[in-house]
Amino acid sequence: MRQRGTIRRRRFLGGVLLGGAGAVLAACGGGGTKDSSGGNGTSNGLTGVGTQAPQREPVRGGALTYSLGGDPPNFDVHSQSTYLVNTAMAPVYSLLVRFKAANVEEAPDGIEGDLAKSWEQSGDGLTYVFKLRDGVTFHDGKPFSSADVKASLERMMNPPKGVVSPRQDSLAVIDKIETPDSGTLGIVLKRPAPSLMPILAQGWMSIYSAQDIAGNFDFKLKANGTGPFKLKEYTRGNRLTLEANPAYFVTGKPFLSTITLFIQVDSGARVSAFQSGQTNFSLLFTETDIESLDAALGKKMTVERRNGYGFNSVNFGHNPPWTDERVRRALSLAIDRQESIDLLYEGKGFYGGYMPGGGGWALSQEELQRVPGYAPYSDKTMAEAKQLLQAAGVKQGHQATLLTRRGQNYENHSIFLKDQLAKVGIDARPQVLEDAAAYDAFNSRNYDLGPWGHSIALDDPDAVFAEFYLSESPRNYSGIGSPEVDALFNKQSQTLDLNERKKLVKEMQQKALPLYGKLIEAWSTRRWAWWNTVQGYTSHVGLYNYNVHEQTWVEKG
Amino acid sequence: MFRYVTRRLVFLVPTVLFVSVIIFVLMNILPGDVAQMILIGPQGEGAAKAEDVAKIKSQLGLDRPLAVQYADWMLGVITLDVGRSLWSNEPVFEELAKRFPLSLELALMSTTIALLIAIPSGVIAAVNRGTWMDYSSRVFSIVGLAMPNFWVGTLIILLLVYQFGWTPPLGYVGPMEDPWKNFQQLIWPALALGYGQAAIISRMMRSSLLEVLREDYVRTARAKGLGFSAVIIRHGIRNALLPVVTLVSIQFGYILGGTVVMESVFSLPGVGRYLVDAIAHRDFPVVQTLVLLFAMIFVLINLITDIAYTKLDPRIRLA
Repeated sequence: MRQRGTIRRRRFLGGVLLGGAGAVLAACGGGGTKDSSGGNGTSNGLTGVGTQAPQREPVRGGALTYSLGGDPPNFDVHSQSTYLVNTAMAPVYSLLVRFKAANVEEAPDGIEGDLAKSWEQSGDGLTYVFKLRDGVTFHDGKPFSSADVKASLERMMNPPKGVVSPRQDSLAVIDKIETPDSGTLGIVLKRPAPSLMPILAQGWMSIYSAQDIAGNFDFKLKANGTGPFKLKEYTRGNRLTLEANPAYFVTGKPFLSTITLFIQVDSGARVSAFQSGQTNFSLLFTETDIESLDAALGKKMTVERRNGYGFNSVNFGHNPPWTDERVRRALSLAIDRQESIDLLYEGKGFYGGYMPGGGGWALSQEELQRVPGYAPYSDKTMAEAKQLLQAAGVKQGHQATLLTRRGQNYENHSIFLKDQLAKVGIDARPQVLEDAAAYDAFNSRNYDLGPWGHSIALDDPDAVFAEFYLSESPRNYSGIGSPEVDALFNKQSQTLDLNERKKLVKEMQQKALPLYGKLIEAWSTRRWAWWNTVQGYTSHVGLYNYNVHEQTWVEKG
Repeated sequence: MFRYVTRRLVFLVPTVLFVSVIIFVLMNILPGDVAQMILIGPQGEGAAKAEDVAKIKSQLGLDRPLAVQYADWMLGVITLDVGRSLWSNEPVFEELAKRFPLSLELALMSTTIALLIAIPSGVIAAVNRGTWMDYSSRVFSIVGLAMPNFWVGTLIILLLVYQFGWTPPLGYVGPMEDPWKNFQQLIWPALALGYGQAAIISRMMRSSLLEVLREDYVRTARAKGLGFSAVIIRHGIRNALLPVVTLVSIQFGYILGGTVVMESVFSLPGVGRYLVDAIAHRDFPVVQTLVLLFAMIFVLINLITDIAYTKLDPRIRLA
C-alpha cells in the first residue's frame, strides 16, 4: 500500500473517481515463472520427493483429479468453515483481491487484484477505493459490477435470517460500502484496520451475484460465480466435477478442462487411488502415506511440504484444579513438545506460540522459550511442574478426564497427553465421544482437559486472536482471557505502521501465552503431492486461500 | 395366501409407528445437535456461538415442540415428502433414490456370489463328511468368519494396487450408464462381502443337510435305488434349504443398510454411508426416514421368506 499525506475522505474519493485508477499492483492471474519447489517448503530439511521438470508451455485440456475426505456440507462459502467447501468452491468463485500465486507465505504485502484491478488507501487508513474489472460475467451470463461485491460483503457482515457468517466479526470494522459506479467500490472503515486486505484476500470471501442474493438463490445447492471453473455436477458421497469457464475474464485461462473431486473418506483408499493414478493431486497425505507412495512411485511424483496452520493444543474446562493458573503452567512444563512432534506429527511439526512459527508475526524461538511454561522440556521443567502442582494442592494420583473426539488422530493425542500427565502423577482418562457429543461437551465447558487440534485460516493477528485468544473469542474454550490482552489486541488492530504493530503483537502474545488459556503443543506440517504430469501449481502455507487452480495444467500421458 | 399377505402388510403399520417413535425419541435424547454440527463443521474447523446455534435451530424448526416436529415428520412420511436434510438441504427422498440402487445392487451381487460358493461347498462337505473335502470347506468357512469383510476388502485393494498398479475406477456409475465400469467398481466389494456371507451359509448348509441325510425318507430313497441327484438334490437339498433361506434373508437385509465400512473402503455412495453420516451430523429427517425404511424392508423380507417356505416345504401352510 502507498502512504499519502492526510487528506479529507470525501476529497480523496472524489479525486480517485475523477482522476482514474492508481497504480496497478499486479496483473491478475499471476503466472510467469516460479520456483516449483516452493519457498518455505520444509521444517526439517526434507526436500520434495521426485523432481519436477523446468517450467514448460502449459498444455490445455487436462483433467485434475483429487480426493476429498468427505462431502462439502453445502456450497454456501459465506456460511462455512470447512476446507471441504472451500476446496470445492474456490475455483468457482472469484475474490475481490487474493494472495499472489508466488506469495506462498501469504504475506500481507503480496496481495493482487482478482476482480479488483487496483486499489488506493487513504492516508488515514479509513477508506479503500477499488477499481473493478470490466467485462466480467457470472457463469449464468449476468454482468458483474460493484453492486455484487457490496452485496456479498454485506451478506457476510449482516447475514440473512437463518444464515450464520463465521467472518462476520472480522468484517465488523467496515462502516459502509459505497458503489459510486459499476466499476468502483469504496469501503469506509470505522477505524484503521491494516488487516482488512489480508482478510479480504482469504479464500472465504467469495463474490456472489447481487441478483442471486436478492432473489433467494439457493447457495447451498447451487453455485454461480465468476471463477475459472463452473460447477458441472455433484453427487453426494460420489464426486463433484467442475468444468472450465469459457468466459473467464483472464484470457487464455484456465488450462484445465475439468477438476474432479472424488469423495473418499477412507485414507487408505485415497493413497491407493493416488498410487494407481486414479487421482493425480492430493492435499491430505500423512508422512507415512508419502513414504509409502515414495516407495511405489519414486520420482513420478512431487511433494511439497509447508509449515502448516494446524496445531495441537490443550483446552481447559471449568473444573478445578484446572482453573488454577499454576496447574495449567505445570502441564505446560510437563509436556515434551518434541515428543509430541515425533509421535503425533510423525517428526514433521514445529514449535510455535499463538501465531504460526516461521510466519511474519511469530515469536522467535528464543522469545517463545522465555515465556514461562514454554521452555524446552527437561528435568528442570519437570521438577518445576511438580513443585507447582504441590503448591496448588494437587495430590499424586489425581484423576482427570480427557475429552476426546472419536478418530485415530484425536485418540492418539489423548493417549499422548495421558502419558505426559502420568509423569507428574496425574491419572488422566480419555473420554472418547463421537463428534456431536464431543462438540456438545466441549461447548458446555464441563470437562477437565480437552486435547483438541485446531487450524487457522490466515496468519494475521486480528484473525487468530479474535477467533481463539480474546476474552469473548468463540473458540476460547477455556474461557480464560485478560483485559490487558484485549486492549493490546484493539491497539494493534488499528496500528498502521507495520513495525510498530509487530511489536504490539509480540507483546500481546507474551502476555497471552502465560495465561495458559490454550496450551500450544506443536504446529503441523502440511503436505501436497501430485503426479509430475501436473504442472503450474504451487502450494501455500494456508489451506484455504489458494485453491483456485487457475494456473494448473496436466500433461497428457 | 392373499389374506395372509394382506394381514402381514397391515401389521406393518403398527410396526412402523412403533419404530418411528423409538427412533424419534432416541435422536432427540442423544447429546449434540445438528445446529452445533453445522457451525463447527465435519472437520471441527468452526465455532458454535450460542446465539448462532439458536439462530440455526430456529431456521430449521428445531425449536418447535417435539410433538409438533414428530407429527410434521410423520405427515411427511405418509405423503412421501419427508423434507430435506438439515445438513445439506437436499431432499431426503431424492438422495435416497440415488443411493438405494447401489446398495441393492451390491446386496444382490454379494448374495449371488455367496450362494454360488456356499451351496456347493456346504453340499460337498456334508456328502463327503470326514474327508479332505469336508475339512477344506470348514477351513474356508472358519477363515471367512474370522476375517472382517472390510479387512478382506482392504486386502483386495492392496493386492490390486501393488500387484497390478490398478484400483477400481472412482466415481460410481450405475449399470445402465456404463455396465463395465459399474462391474469393475462393484465386483470387488461384492466378493469381499460374498465371502463373509458364504462362510456362514456354507456352515449352515452343511449342518442342515447332514441332519436331512439322516432322515428316514432319505434312507428309503436310497434303498429304493434312487441316484445321487434324486437323493441329494431333490430330497436332501430342498429340505435343507429352510434354515439357509432364513439366514440369507437376514444377511440380505443387513447388507442393504449396514455395509458402511465397505462403502468407505471402496468409496461407494451407498445407503450405509448416508445413514452413518446422518447420525454423526444429527440429521434427524435422514436418520428417521432411513431407519423407518430399513424396518419396512426387514418386515417385507420376512414376509417373502415366509412365502418362500411354503414353496420349499408343501407341509407349511400360511395361517
